[in-house]
Amino acid sequence: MRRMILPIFKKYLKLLISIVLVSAMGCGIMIGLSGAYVSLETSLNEYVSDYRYPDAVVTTDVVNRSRAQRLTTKVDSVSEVTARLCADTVVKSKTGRLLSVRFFTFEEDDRQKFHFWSRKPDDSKDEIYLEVNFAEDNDIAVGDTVSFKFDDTFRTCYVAAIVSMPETLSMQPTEDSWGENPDFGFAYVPRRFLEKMSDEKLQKEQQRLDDEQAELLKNWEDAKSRYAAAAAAVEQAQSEADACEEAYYNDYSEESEQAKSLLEEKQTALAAEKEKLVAASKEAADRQDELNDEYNTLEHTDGYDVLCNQFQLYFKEGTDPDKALAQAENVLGAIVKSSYTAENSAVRNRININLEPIETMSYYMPAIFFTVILIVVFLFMSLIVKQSRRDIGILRALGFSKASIRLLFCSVNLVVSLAAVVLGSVVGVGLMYFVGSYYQAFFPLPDFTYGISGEMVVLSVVLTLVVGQISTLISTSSIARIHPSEAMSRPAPMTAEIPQLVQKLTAHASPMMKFSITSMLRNKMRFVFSVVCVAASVMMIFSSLAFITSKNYILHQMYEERIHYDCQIFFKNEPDDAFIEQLNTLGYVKDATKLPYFQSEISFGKQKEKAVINGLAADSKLVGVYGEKSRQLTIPQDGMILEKHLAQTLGVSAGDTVSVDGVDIQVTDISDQCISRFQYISPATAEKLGDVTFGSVICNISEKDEKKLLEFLSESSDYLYIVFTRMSLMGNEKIFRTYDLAAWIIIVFAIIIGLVIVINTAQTNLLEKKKELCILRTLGFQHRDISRNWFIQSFLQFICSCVIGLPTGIYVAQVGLQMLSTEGREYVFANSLPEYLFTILLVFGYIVVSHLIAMQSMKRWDMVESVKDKE
Amino acid sequence: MEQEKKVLLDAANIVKTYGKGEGKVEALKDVSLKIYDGELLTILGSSGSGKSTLLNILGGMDRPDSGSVMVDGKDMCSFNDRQLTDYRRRQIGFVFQSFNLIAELTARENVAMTADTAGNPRIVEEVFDMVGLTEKMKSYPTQLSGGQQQRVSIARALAKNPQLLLCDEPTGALDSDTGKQILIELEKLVRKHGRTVVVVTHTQEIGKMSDRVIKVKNGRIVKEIHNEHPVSAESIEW
Repeated sequence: MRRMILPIFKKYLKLLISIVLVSAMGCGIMIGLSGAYVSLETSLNEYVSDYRYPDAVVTTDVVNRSRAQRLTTKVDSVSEVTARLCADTVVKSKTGRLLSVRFFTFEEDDRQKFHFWSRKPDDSKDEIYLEVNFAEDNDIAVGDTVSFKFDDTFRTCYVAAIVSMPETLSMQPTEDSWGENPDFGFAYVPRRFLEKMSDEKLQKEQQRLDDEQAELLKNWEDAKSRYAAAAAAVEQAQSEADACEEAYYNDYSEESEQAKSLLEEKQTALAAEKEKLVAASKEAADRQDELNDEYNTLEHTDGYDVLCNQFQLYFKEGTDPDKALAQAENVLGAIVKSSYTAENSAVRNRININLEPIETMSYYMPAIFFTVILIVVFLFMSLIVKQSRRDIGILRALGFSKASIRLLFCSVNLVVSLAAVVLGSVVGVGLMYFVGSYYQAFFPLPDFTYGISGEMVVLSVVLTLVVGQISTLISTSSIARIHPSEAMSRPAPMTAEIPQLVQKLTAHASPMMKFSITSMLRNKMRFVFSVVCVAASVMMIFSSLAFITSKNYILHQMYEERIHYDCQIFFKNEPDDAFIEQLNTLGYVKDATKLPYFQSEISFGKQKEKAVINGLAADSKLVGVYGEKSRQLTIPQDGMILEKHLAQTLGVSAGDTVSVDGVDIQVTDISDQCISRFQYISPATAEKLGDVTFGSVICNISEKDEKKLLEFLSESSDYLYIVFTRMSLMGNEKIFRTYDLAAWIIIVFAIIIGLVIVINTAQTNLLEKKKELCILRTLGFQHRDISRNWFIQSFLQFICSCVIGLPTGIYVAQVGLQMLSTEGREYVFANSLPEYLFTILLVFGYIVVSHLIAMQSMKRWDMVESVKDKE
Repeated sequence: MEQEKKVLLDAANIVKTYGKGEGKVEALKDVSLKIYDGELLTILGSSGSGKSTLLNILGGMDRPDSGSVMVDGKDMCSFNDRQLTDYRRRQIGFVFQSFNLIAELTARENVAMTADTAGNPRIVEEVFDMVGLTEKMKSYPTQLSGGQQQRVSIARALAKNPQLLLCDEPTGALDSDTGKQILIELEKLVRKHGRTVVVVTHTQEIGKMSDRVIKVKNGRIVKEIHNEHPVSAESIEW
């Protein structure tokens, strides 16, 4: 039996090699992508835990060491508290560009939490650490100096280190930010440095208060003497009046009457003066109280203009973070602005946002492909067994049992499957390292722990072996059942089975054309096999391309349909009309328009959701609002356009009335937004909602004028940060890089696997019709005549494959994209003509290439042998 | 007689070897042969004698290792693939032992397809008439008996209007009665229609109806018999 294995290998070498290659590709992509994903997930979790990302964070205006101490003592489960100050400011890079920065303070002991990508500490200088992505994006290196705006003045700081912390994985100014913005970054400054600056500010503030109090005291003394004078004058006036009155009663005269009136007037004026003085003294007393409060504030806080100062809490092991956080909030009381546990943090959220699509791409698509590959392997293996029909007949005639024949082919398959598994594992490990290194650079992660997903390895190995064995057993069983003499003979042609429709259609065709079409349908199993194999290629290529198309659609929807402005500027408060006017008169800013920005609670029935609302004039050309199927919507004067996903969550339809922070607004339309979802109302409706969460202005500006605008804005104390659309696009493209990588790997694999499948399908089809084609050659048909005939067959099969493959590809892509979609980001299947064309042309290219290869191999055929009456 | 007849094909010193080293087989060893216009030639030989190899070389389906095959004053051995195909298309009609009809095409279509490629084809209905199978033109090969299929095969060869008909064991897959019918057809082609027919066979009896018989053994022509009075195919029994 062992002697029989080698001839089978020799006879079907190409086909067996193809099975090995295709299976290895399937195993490789499964093992590689899943391994890279597992490695990424492990590395991210290790990064978060190794660098001691806090278990919970409380943001508050007042962050001081005494409160931190109180948290440690009063909340049992808290093991450590770090108090750090945080604020948004601007940094001027060496190119002069003003960059928005959120900086955090760190204690000397916290240094160990950083991962230093490069470092040159120089404690003698005012040092600043910059986050690695931010520094790289803006070409800032260790040793550079940057201007750091503090208290409306720029200070020169020395960049002492380029660092990363787990929190830098989330590089967004707010939850609603549109992607990562290279103009926005994180910086870290030693607390002593900030305290130094803070002290300076405190001293200035103290001085201002002292001056004010001195002025007040001086005024107070003046007021007191004036009051005393007034009181004396009133008293004098009163005694004069009394004397006057007495004289009036005793000696009435016209003069005394006039004197009395004068005295009364004087008395009234003096009383009014006295009242004013009393009020002034009360005001002075109140101001004195206020001053005392301000003094107290200076004394009891760390005295910085805070945005989101934080207490970072570390809990003891086994603590329920939610409960412990609630206790901490109780201890801190009303000063708490917001809080989150590590699990609900923006960092974790960002990690999940990045991991979810990668996870889907790493498991779903390889699994689909692997299934397709297994079907193809099944078909290839069945083909080998069918083509060995005569050999099986001989073996049976020689006395070999059915079981031994099954064993023979199963052994062949086992060798092939094992080779595929070994090769696939090598490819998979290589792919894992390649993709892993890309993941590491993308985030970036200081360490990357490579590790293969054991389940996926076992699954791919078992599936490869099992499917190979099953396909072999099924095919050998049917062949081995045939009587040896029958198996040795040539199977009868299946002419009669040509469908009536095909016969009718080809009735008037030339015999050659009829032969092309009908011979293709002669062996229905072969025809189905060919169509399925090519359709599988079409499906794999199309569905993998759909991921890129979907991503492009998201960016198109965002940056071509929706955003028609160059930048959006955020302020603490809503800027007034004069400021907008001022912006528009700068010359280089165009179309500056207010875009009120609300973070509100929208409720409908019992459902409540937080949402972002923008106020926008109906005739604004700067923002496009679109509904489903890219239907442009008009912002209503009184109503609201609700975003589709929010509408679904709330159960709202167009025409319903929702409550926005207690104000009833009718929903007029539902908009379609895959990411960064906003609700739109008119400026008039926005006024009903009251104060904005952020002031926001959108405008157009050319890239060369960006610096000038940033300089201008830095003068404004209300300015928070700016998002340039081109930077936002770059940021979003950066976010999609890992997605792109996974998608392109799948595409490349699909393209390679598709090519192998199509070429093999063509080769096996050709071999089956070898005899007919050789007969044609002996009858005098030129090579080109046969080539043309053969190409007609291939083309017809290709058409059938496209008809099956494209809808299947659409379905697979839709399911995949649905799995890929997260709460905040929807990947939709987008019809794209280039995608259809690319897939069709690529597979057609395969057909042409495989045709040329087949025709070349046909030239080498021995016509004499082929036309003989044997297989 | 040889001087009077036109030489259609002149093969000289043909050598053909298959395989290499120990597995080397000399199929033809310095074989020379002429085929004359209008003759019925039988090449006789046992299995492995080299008769089919000779036929294939004469038909342009195979190339000799050395020697020449002159056709219309040109050496066929120097033909490229295109010229060889053209030779098969215009000058040769093949009849195979296993018929080799295209199963997906009707009898008529099988014949018409070949006729379409020829430079000077005959009318399809005419050739069917010649082989006496007009009523079966619309049938598919599977609907025909072996003899009928072989007659379609002959009709296909004749449709090209070739100078030379090469038949490789034309009765090999048929019973003797059906085989005899085929031989009658071939005889008719030579005697009535003036065609040149070469039949390769291992059945000695068939030689009796031929004008000339060449016996091949171990790759060499061992005997050439001129039949002054060939018997009719009708009288052959085997």
